[in-house]
Amino acid sequence: MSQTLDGAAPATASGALARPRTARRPVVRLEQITKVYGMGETSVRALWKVSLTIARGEHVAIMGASGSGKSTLMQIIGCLDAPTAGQYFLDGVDVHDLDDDQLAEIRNLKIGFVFQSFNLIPRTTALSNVELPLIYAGVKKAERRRRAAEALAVVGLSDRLDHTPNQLSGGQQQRVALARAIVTDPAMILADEPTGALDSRSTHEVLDLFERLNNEGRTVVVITHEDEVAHRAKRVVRLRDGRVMSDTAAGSPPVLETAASVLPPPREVPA
Amino acid sequence: MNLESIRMALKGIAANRLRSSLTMLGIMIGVAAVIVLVAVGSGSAAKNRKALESLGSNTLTVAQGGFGFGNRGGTQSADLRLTDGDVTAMSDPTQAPSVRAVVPVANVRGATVSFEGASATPAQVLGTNDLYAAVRSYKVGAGSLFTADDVANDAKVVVVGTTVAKNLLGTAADPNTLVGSEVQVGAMRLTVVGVLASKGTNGTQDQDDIMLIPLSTARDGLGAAPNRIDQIIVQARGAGYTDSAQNEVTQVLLQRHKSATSNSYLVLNQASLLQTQDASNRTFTVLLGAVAAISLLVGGIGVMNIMLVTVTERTREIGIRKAIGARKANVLGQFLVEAVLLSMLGGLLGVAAGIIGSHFTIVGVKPVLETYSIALSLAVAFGVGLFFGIYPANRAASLRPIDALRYE
Repeated sequence: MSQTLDGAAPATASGALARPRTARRPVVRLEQITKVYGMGETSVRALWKVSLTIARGEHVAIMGASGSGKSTLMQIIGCLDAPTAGQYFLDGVDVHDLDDDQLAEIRNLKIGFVFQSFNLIPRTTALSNVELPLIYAGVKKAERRRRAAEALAVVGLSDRLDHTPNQLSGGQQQRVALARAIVTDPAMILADEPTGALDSRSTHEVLDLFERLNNEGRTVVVITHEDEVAHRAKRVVRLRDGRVMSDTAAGSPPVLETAASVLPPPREVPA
Repeated sequence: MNLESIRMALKGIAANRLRSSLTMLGIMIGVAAVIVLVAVGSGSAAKNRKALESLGSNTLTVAQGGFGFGNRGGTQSADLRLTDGDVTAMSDPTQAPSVRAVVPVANVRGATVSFEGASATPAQVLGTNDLYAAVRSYKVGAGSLFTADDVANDAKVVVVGTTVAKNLLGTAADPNTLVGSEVQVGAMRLTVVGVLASKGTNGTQDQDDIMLIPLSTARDGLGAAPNRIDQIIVQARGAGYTDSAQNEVTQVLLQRHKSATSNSYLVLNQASLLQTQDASNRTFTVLLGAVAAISLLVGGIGVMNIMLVTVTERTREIGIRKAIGARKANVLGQFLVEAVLLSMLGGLLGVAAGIIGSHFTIVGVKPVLETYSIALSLAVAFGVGLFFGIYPANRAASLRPIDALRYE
């Protein structure tokens, strides 16, 4: 185990998957995050001084059209990419300057990924797919089996343990992916367009599941461009051109340009 | 690496059965070739060794003339002629203390033997003394050998090999029943006093197609020239005495034949011949093994090729694994174990094929399976998998998760 990780979410700890989190500190704290792709003339500013805090137990939807920077934001929150400037604290840990292996460990223990295209390992049973993060966390086999089966029970797939991805429907595959995301008991479930490849019935199933997991105390961050998905969240963050355009609690109408005063005026990136 | 990575690797191998089998085939052929070719090398070494050993242990063979190599110009003296005097001198313990036994051999050429209408022409009809059989490690199958007295008294006796006896009696009959019968050899009637036990072939010659006659008898009635000896077989007192016996015998020859040069006689030392033979056979075996090892190397390149394809194909899977927490070492290990397993499975199949292949006679050589070649080729297969697996595995491990996830 890396020294940079505290013991807030030890993957080896047995326990209820829906253990309530009581710590005060936020799960995600982004400070003035900027991401620029490329160099010089051809550089593209994907994110510009984005500051965002997500507390424990929140259900947040990050919305925006394509090109708004929401995918870049997802990659930075997911520790898959590093920001050009700014600071990011994930569950209290400054992820700046962590090496590849430490980042792998952080992704393993603190983040549960759900992707648009499910991203299950082909030709591998649902149970084995859900076990995979526990293998990398070094959990013993019997314990691994038990926890994977438990996570699959949470998503209602107890009767599909030995099915391979090609034997499952899209909705079922996404539920396996969700079980994989929660099996390490992470600080946050990070979903990137989780319903983008699903029909409307499966979409409902998966969104219900997100809602239920959130009600059990889990932090859920969903990146989406679908209003239906955003409606289920308790907080909606809208991005446009790499900046936070609005940040509203669910139910209240989106207030455009509310945060404009705290944002710097749009400027070109200095070359 | 733990059990889990082996399980993952096996799954990876099983995912592409045809491709994996073809890759394994490359290693399999390499390993089988190493095992079979080393076995053939050892087999031919064993064959040569057997041929030399059949000449008897700790023996020297003295013959006139050389093998034909070296300078033998016409101005040189004629070949040295071995005589009864040489035999007597070599038997003298003061002149040749390292010598135990001296056996003169005179060839009787073209002699036929007949018995009750059947006749045979043995490959070797030798006029010799009572010690020949012992020195050439022949055993008596039935009856007895002729004695020193028989040699001294021109006794009309003969000892035959089993092939000669069978030629006379028919293959179905027991060759030993020829003992006591009278056979016609040339103009003489000789009594068969003994039949030699079968020694089989020495690799080039049937050692049972032989007939032994007392030297004096051969000279009396079978045309062997008096006082002329074709070959003298000298047995040293023990394994450690062959070199000194060789020196003594050479001294005797040089003393007794003033005109002798190093080309006019030949003293063959079985022990030193064996050593040179062994050395050249080892070189031969190593050479064969090296040729086979090249095919193992080619198999290794096949492993690397397939692993590179596999890594490219599974880029997305690598991305998923990295996203959910696989470290560099996990991914490296997974693909390295896969490469090594691919190679080792091929190696094990190759060992099986090699063992089976070594049971067949190949170009007249009965292969001798060497345990070290199995261990060595398996170790090399392991090394090949490791060596050729490192580059593809490292390529997989170095992929950035974000790039790998985007890969279509």
